[in-house]
Amino acid sequence: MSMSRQQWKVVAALGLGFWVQPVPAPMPPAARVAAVRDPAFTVPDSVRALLTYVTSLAVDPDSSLYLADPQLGMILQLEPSGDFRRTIGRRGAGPGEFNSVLLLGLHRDSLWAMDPGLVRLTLMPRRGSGAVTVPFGNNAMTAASATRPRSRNGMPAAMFPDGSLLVQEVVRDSASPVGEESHSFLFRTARSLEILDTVARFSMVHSGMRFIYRDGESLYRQPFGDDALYAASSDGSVLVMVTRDASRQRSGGTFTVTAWRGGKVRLFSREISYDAIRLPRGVVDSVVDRFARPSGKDAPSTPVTEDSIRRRLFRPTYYPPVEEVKVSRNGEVWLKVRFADGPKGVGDWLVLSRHGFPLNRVALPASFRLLEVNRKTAWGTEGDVLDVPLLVRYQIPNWGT
Amino acid sequence: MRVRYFGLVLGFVLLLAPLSAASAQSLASLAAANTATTAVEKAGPGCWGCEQVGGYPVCRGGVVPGYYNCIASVLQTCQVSSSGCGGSAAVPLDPDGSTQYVSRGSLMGVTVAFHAGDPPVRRNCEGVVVARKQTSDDITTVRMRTGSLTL
Repeated sequence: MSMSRQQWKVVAALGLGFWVQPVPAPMPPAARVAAVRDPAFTVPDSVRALLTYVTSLAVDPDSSLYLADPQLGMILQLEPSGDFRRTIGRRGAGPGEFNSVLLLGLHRDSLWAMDPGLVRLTLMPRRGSGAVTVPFGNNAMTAASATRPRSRNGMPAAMFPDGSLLVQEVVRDSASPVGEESHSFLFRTARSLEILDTVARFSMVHSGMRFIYRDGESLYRQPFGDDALYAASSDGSVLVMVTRDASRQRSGGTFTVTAWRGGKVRLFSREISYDAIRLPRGVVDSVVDRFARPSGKDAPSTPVTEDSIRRRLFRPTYYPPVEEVKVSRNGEVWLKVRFADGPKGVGDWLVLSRHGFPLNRVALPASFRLLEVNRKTAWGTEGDVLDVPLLVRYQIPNWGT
Repeated sequence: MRVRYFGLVLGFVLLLAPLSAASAQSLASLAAANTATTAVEKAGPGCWGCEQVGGYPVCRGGVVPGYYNCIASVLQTCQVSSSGCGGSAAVPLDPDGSTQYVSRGSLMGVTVAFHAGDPPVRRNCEGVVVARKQTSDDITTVRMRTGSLTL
């Protein structure tokens, strides 16, 4: 009955395996390339004059672009070269009309657009006419045969290839006098908003600053927040979430990137270590000043004082390691990172393969806001001296070398 | 002299009487129209609230109690002002349908509880337009022809 020497070796190895926790491997060095602005892509001034703040962009299989700008009340479709092709929808409340399109994406032969103003998602064929309206929130249809709980307060953020929705439902802190956000759920729901799955739950205590005054409220995004980020590819095939606690004590730490296919099957979960950059006091001061004294083009002034903003501002000692995340159509994950070894004065993007392995470090201008990427082509906006968004396209040469 | 002045005054009053009545009526209707217009204009396109989705602070419609105005700015802020889509401003929907809501808006009655634990009630969020005792066809006709109606 006694164990042989071989068996003891196996038991000891297994025991050691349970005792020793896996250590996050330092990120293997990825090749660094500089993206090059594509001069063949130019948006005419007549289109540029329409844009205020582009929040979403999707690329059609025919290479034309769909743009969402919440101020516009419609969707813009541009030629692959950047020329105007057509507008889709118009301002209004009828079928196929919009108040403010925040997000859009592709679903099979259709384009979907999420309008938080009208509290609904609209599906339109990319060729032809017609519109299917999917109300959400309190306006959602009541399904007679509903057997599952529904997301009553969530907002759709993406559509998965099987037609189900990714819905973010924010939970407020009932103990907070201003109803500050506490955490969020990411649900996969049917179009009736019946919850099919809970994909993730994450904290939102460092996501926003809410101020309530006599005749109004203001909600500011925390500029140095370290709550989780998520993004889905424009066709919904890959969903990615990044947990990224900003380091308070040490200059190094780790963040975790998790990806799912169709919101259901986990593709990978990768822990990446990094050396952080200290957050300078001057940067904090300039951000507070901009919030407290916005210029006309930024936002209207509010009764919120500089002191109030300073009290509520989340101010870590070090920058959160990841600022933004995007997922390309082919499932690659683009992370805008702030690492100590990053180049100065540019936006440093770490690109992971669809299996979570580092592929490249891509240098883009610091002011560039990435909206969509497809392997070696990136679309986004840059602000000029007047902060008018300019839609631009970059090519990444020597990709993967 | 006094009689002559009295006659003059009487004549002036008699001359103005129908005009005054007419103008009073038109002023009243103008005032009513102004009230209705103000109410509709003030209500705006919805009851707004500020929420976050995908990292963006956004103006979300259909929020009760909510605000009449909302601005989401490029600075990634959302500001709502002029409260009014709350319990006092919203129009109740009668469960038996005797009071009906007429609006071209998209944000129809929603279920809300104004205080934790209260039983939920139905409240209109957009517009303050009510029609009594009308058939559904009438309601549809009114909704197609008008932006607002006060009965």
